[in-house]
Order: sequence, then C-alpha cells, then structure tokens
Amino acid sequence: MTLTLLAGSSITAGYGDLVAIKDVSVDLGEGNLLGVVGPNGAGKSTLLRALAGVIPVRAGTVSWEGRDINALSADKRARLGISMVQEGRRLFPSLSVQENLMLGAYHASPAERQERRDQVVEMFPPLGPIMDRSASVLSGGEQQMVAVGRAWMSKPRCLLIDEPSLGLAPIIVDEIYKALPVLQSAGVSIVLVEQEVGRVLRIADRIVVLHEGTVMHDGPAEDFRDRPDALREAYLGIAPGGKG
Amino acid sequence: MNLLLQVVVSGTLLAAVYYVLSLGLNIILGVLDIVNFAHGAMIIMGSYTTFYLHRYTGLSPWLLILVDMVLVGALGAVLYLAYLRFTVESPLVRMFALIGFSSVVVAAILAMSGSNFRTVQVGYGTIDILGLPVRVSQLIAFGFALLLGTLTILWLNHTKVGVAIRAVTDDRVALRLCGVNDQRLSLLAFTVGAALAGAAGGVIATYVTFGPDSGLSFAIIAFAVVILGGLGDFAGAAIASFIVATTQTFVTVYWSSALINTTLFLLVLLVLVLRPRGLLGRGRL
Repeated sequence: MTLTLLAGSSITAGYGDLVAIKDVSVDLGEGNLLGVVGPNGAGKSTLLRALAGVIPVRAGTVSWEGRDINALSADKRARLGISMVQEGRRLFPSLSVQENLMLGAYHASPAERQERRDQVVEMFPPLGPIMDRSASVLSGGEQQMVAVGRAWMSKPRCLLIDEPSLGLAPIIVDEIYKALPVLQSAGVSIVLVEQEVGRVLRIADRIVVLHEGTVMHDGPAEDFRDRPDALREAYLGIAPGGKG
Repeated sequence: MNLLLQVVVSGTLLAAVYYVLSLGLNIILGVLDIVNFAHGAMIIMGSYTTFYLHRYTGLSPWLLILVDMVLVGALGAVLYLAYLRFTVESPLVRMFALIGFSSVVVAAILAMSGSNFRTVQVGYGTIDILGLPVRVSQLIAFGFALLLGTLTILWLNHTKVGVAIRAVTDDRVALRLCGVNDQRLSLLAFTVGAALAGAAGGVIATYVTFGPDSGLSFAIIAFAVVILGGLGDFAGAAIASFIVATTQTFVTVYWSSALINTTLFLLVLLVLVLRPRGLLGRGRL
C-alpha cells in the first residue's frame, strides 16, 4: 500500500474575490506521479500554488505525511521537502545559472551543493558549459532545465511542476520529460500540471481532471493510457484528434 | 599641469570616500529596491557618533567606524522590523516613513548638538605623492574605502547569503520556494546597508566638516554614484565615484564650487538618457 505524502482535502483557494478552486481533494502517494490536467482557467496552477504554500487555502487542509501544514509558509514547506517549478520557469535573471542552482540547495552543505550540481549537469548536459552565463539570456529550454535542476538541488521528496512544456519546442519538451521518470526513480513524488494530456498519461500513475475549479475525475492513468482522446472528449470538451 | 595632476590625485582620494557613501545605498536601493530617503540621516548619525566618541574617549576615529556600523546598523534593523517590513506593497508609505525618520534624526542632532559645523581632527601629517602633499588621513580613508568596498562585493558575490540577497528583488516567491526566508534576508540586507551608511559617516567625518543638514548633500552624492554606476552594480559605482569626484574637483578648481550640483545633475541626466542601466550597462532598471 502506498503511503500518502502530500494531500489536499476539500481545499478552496483563489485570488481576491475570485475563487479559482473549490472543495478540491487530491492525494499524492509516496513515489507516485500524479498528473493534473484541465483546460485553461481550470485551477491547475492555483492547486499547485496552494499545495506549495504560495497562496493560502481559504478552506480545507493541506497535509504532509498526515500532518496539517496549512500554517506553514512556502519556505518552511520547501524545507520539509516540497519543491515547485513554477509556470514560466521563474529563474533569478540577475544571477548566473550556477547561482540559480546553488540557491536551490540553500540549506545544504557546500559539499552537498556541489554533489547535487554535478547530478543536475548529468541530468541536463547542456547546462555544463553555461554555468557562468546569466539566466536572463538563456533559451526557453535552458531555462526549464535550470528550473527543474534548481528544484532537484533542494533534494525534494515531492516536486510540483507547473506546465513544463509551455512555450517550448517538442524536442526540448522530450528532454524535460525524460528527466521526470529519473527523478521519480530517485524517490521523488511528483505532481505534474500539464495541458498536453497524451504526455501526462504516458508517465502518470494517477490522473486528476480539473474543470472550472472542481475535480471532474480522479483515477488511475492506465484507464486512459491507450485512449487519451476518450479523456479529452469526456472531460475536456475537445473532440478526438484535437490538440491537447 | 601640476594643477591638473592635483585634481586627479584629490579626485581619486575623494572618489574612494564617495564610493563608501554609495555602498549602503547600493545594497538598499540597488539590491533591495528600497529608495532609502533616510540614507543621508544614517550617514550623519555615523559622523556625529565618531565626532562625540572621539572627543570624549580619545579613541581613534578609524576604530570608531566599527561603533558607527553597529549603532546605525542596529537602528536600521529596528526601523525595518518595526515598520518597513509591513510596507513591501506600499512604496509611498515607505517613502514617508523614511523621510519622517530622517527628520527625527536631524531634529535630534539639532537639539543635542546645535547647528554648528563639526570636524574630526586627525593628525598624522602629510606625505608626498607624485610631488604633491597628501594628508595621511586621506590615504587611510582611501584604504578603508577599498577594504569596505571589497568586503561588500565579496559578501554579495561569493557567499550564499549574499547571492540570495541579490535574488530578493528578482523573485521573492521563487526564493521562498527554494526554502529561503526572504523577510529575514531583507532585514539582514537593510541592516548591512544601514551599517555601511554609518561607516561612511565615520569615514567622511575625517574628511570634511559637517552639520545636521549635511546628510542631504552626502545622500545626493550617493544617489548620483549609484544611478551613474547602475543600480546594484558595485563595479560601476566605483567608476562612477571616480567620475563624480574628479568632475567635482575639476569644476571647483577651474570654475566655481557653486556649479558642483548643476554639473552632477547634468551628468546623471546624460547617463540616464544614454546608459539607463548605468555606465557598464549591468544595473537594474
């Protein structure tokens, strides 16, 4: 039986007067990859931000290994082992690639930081020669590699990734997606938010479909693995063969 | 020719002092993105602390710079904790708080010390450099400036805390997601910035005469150096300090000291138009 690592129980969250997710419950089992799909505005990013502590939940509970962590700020949750790759990568543009990565392992010892940095270069070899380059001049693909690498530097037990394919060429997305099973096999549990249903279904253990801020479906990914069009048609309102 | 050489030597020595004036501001404005309207008040607090402690204890003004740093740094920390941390989203409120703090400091100095101009007398005599007499105290101030500037740059670029402080204004949320407490970092950066302003006050007290209102002139120079050098660019600020100091010395010697501020503003305007990211093009916008 898989133990639940991170869970949101009946959580409601939003921005100002806007309620972006309402009464949403999700469970992430230890070592699992949970895919969260849904159309634009479904509340996928809000769900991740609420789980990571970037925004507060208005109702419900976010728990970590069964313990209520609603009161913990994002930095404290990160120190527990919850790391997040935000939509749009969100690197520190005034810092170099190396400095961006090192900040991911802020609380680690210098030796650990160096070891994890080497692991990032092993995972994403193109980063090796550009360690001293400013993050502000990187291509989208390089930025995404640094963003995932920075999250890995914190030695996370749980990784929340928001739309890693956004704005990237398919060949670059392939590189990023190759890294996810590697992270999972290293013991990292992953919540992956994505609009590309087909890609998510190929690697996810469970799939959650969000629509207008509520959960429309929550079940094993294998139910739809061979027929992603059925998932699109049933829950996302996209005809078979359509993009997504 | 001899006069021109004198302008260059004096300008270089003065540049080091101007660089120190800009260090604290460059951290608070250039790195933390807080327009520190209290920078002049913090400097002048350092100057008066050195003046009185030197007068009543006889301790070396160079040693007293450490006291200036601790005292003004601690006050900066209190100011940040008690008020500024609540104003992250309200720059206007923050501006008035800092102006208010400045007014209180100037009023307190006036009440306690009067409006007389002060100076910290430092002996040591003069030595010849390139055939020109230079006060040893100026050389010591120059050394202090180099030391403080080097330590600040090393701290910001080669320690994990320094690097994290540089990231604060880039993206606070991303920093939190790295497990870093951004509020604690901002407090530290503001405290260090204030401490450096205090140190600058101690250094400049050995260089020029000062009064309760002198903080404003010192702050104007610091703002000019930081803007010319590029916000957050400490190497750019070093070059800017040299340009500002030699220009001021040149204008004073060859034209009139009344034109100093005019020249300074023209210089800032010119660089803002041609190089909005500062002389080296690496500063924040």
